[in-house]
Amino acid sequence: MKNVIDISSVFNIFANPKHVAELDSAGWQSLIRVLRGADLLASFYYLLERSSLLEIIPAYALRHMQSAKIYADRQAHQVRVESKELDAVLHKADIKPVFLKGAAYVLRNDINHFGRVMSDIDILVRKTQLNAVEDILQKNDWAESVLAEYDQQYYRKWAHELPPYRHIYRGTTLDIHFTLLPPVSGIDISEEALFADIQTMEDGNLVLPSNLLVLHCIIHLFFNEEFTKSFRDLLDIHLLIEQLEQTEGLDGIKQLSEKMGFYTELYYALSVRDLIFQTDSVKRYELAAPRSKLLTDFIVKKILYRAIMPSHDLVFNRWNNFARFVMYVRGHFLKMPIKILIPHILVKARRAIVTSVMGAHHYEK
Amino acid sequence: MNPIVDIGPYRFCFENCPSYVVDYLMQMYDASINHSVDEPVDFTLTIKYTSFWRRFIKPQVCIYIDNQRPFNPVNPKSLIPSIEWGMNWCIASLDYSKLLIHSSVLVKDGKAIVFPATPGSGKSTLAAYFGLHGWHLYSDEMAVISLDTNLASPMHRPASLKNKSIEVIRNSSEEARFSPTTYGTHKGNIAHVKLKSRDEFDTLVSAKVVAVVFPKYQEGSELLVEQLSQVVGFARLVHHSFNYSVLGESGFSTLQKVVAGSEFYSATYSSYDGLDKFLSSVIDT
Repeated sequence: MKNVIDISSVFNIFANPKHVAELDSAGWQSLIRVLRGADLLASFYYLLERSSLLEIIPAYALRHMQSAKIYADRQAHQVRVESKELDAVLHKADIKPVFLKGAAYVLRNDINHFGRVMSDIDILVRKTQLNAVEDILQKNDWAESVLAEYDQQYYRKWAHELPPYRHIYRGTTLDIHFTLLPPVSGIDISEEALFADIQTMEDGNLVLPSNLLVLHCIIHLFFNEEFTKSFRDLLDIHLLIEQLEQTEGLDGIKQLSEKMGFYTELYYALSVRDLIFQTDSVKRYELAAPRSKLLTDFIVKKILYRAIMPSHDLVFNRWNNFARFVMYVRGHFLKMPIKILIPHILVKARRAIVTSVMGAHHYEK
Repeated sequence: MNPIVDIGPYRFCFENCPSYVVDYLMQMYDASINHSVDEPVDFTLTIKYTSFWRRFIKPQVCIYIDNQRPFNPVNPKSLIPSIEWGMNWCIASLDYSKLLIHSSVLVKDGKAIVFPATPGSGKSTLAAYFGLHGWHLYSDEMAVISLDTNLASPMHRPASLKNKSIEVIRNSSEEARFSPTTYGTHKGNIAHVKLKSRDEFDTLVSAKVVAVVFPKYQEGSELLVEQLSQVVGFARLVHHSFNYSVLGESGFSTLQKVVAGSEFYSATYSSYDGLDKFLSSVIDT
């Protein structure tokens, strides 16, 4: 059976799930592959469930989505358990972590957490607490993940971040942050602004308030070094924005983004979300383009739209790769001063050349 | 066309398959190749070169399942074992609709015995041997147990053998059909042996598990059988399961039913004849 699906039908289905009714078996086979490659099989299950479409799904496709759902549900359960464990460990040092990203979506019960899988738990603590966090983690069965020496140095010296920690028995990976962007970027998010409106959930876990949470998700999309999971990020943004629109509206996040200096990112994220999910928030909230209309349109339609596609051979091509490269460089320019960026890009470029000759997995241990 | 392999509960497709691998698949899977070709496949394994330049000197290939790459690169000439491991990986890592236990499954008179894999137990040799001598080998790598019926499903696949066991099985049966041996994989030398044609496979139905035997091969040993309690058996099956911890309640209730209907033994053996008599007596009771 031939794999037949194009990216516009994938996006169309996400914008309006009832279009799944038009898929034949070959279409389903391809869609399942693209979704599996983008880690979205279980999220898609819940999307169809919310649209009451599960009854019309062929048994073949439903089986794969249900299987992924079982795994994702289990992971959400693990996050709830792991967050309690972490809270208890850090409590010994009188530190109360704020959960970010995937773990936060689970703990806050955000709509996008259903079916969402993650590879690590992210926490935020104050900069002055970092040493104490490392110390108490190491005394409680957490160890620094083994990284290539260059990456290790990159983390500690240039990004001023701790390398990821790993629980030696449970295998959980933990990322410890003290801000939302690498401090080296020069974009300073004041600790006061970060910790001002921290929310306490019913079970006592701390999370970011809605507007900051969504803004962080957007910042992550634009400043992340890898665009490989960017469609997942955009789906998060779409569902979280939808959630905001149904509650307090978008005025709050607009003001917050202006205050923190991320209005451009908010605008681009909402524009590409409008384009892919066929929504109209930019128009409805009368958001002004940060640059000329022509340039903004070009960036959204020609670069972002392509960079965001799920990376699967069935839908991805070298133009998408080029768009991703543009975004990668932009992300780096924004977050690194030039004297650090150039040596960093040089090391990465040398690695890319070595990789292209020696094979894709030369640097793996 | 990319070959499709239908092994019963799962269907696989192989993209960019070198022709010698297609020959291997034809030889081992006969009519399971391109079986019900209009049905969708569950998992697609794509073979890719790691680098364009490296193709010409010391070429390496990887197997991708959508965007995931479970194994290290291998020489394109040593791909056959990776193809089989890749199929195992897909089932064990992506299917949470069944309880999967790392074990082989042998069936006689519609009753199944599960042999969990303990290192050095000789599980694969045992599976291949009995699969060629009067038993049906439902699987040599994992028990696939339905969460609804608690029955073990058969899979149409060859048995995998490594190192010395290749000769042991070759000497035990004249009609056994072997794949070419792949030398020097990270698990040593690997060959596969075909046990059933597709037609023979199609006569098999899912079977109730009646016993779990933890085998241990020990040269020169008499047959030593020790019965284990169901409590011990339960704990050991949890340990050998690929996905019990993910399945949660449904995994527990299925495993509990399998355990309640089974007897548990550890068996130290050196001769297959003695073991055969014991296993047949377990089936008969």
